[in-house]
Amino acid sequence: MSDASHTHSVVQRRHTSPQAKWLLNEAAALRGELARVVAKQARLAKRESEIRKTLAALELVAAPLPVPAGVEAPAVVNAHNRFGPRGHLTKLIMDRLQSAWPKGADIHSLVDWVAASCGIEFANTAERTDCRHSVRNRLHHLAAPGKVERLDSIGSDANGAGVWRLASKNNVSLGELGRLAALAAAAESGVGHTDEGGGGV
Amino acid sequence: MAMTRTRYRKQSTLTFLAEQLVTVEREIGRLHRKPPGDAAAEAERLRSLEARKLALIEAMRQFDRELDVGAISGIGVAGGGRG
Repeated sequence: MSDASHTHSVVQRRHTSPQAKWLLNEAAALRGELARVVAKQARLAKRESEIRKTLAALELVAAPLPVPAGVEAPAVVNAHNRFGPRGHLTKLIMDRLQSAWPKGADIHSLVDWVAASCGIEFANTAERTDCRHSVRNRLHHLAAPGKVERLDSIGSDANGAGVWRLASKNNVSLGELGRLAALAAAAESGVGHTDEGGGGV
Repeated sequence: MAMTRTRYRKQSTLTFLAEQLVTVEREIGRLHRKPPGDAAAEAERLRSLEARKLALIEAMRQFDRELDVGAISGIGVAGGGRG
């Protein structure tokens, strides 16, 4: 029976040369990329026409408005809108950290969350890295006023990535706990010392 | 602090645009009701007002694509608006 099935499979097998496989696969991949590029071009052209129309409208409305002498409005600002309206990236990060609290979230999961929420598809590693830098920069900006904090210990299950957590007044890091314990021990020994001294009086 | 300033700007800008839209709608209505005079000048003024109206609507749509701008201008024309 095994001989029969073996013979059958041999008969069924069709040989395709490696050159043909490579060329056909490469052509199919290029066709896919071409389709993506064409679709992107169409989207960009549509967006360009929308932007030009809105810009003309805003310029028409703003033209008669008085502006104090010596004040020059910025002509071009490279506003980021990849992540939606202004402040949306911060909101997404804070939402994610809020849902993960009291645990943290590593940067890779945050990038995935942001990409999924904004409908971003990474075409290559560079695009993902670019997005990761944006998320990381935003986290550092949020860390400056103490809204989020980077955990000192790198998460073992985070594949070596930094882990971030929503900062709270109740949050105490391990280092902080150690410092508090040392302070408490010092205070206790000080109290004991005072008690001993008091006993002498 | 920056957020507060931004919200304040957005609110006052939206109010300004809505008031401008009502004003433009009124002037268009007045021109339509006015007895014919200098036809060329009035047609030119009407074109300018229509362009301004479209620009105001487009600017307001920056705040919310679903905004019912017709309701704002309709209230302004029919009910007299705020002034």
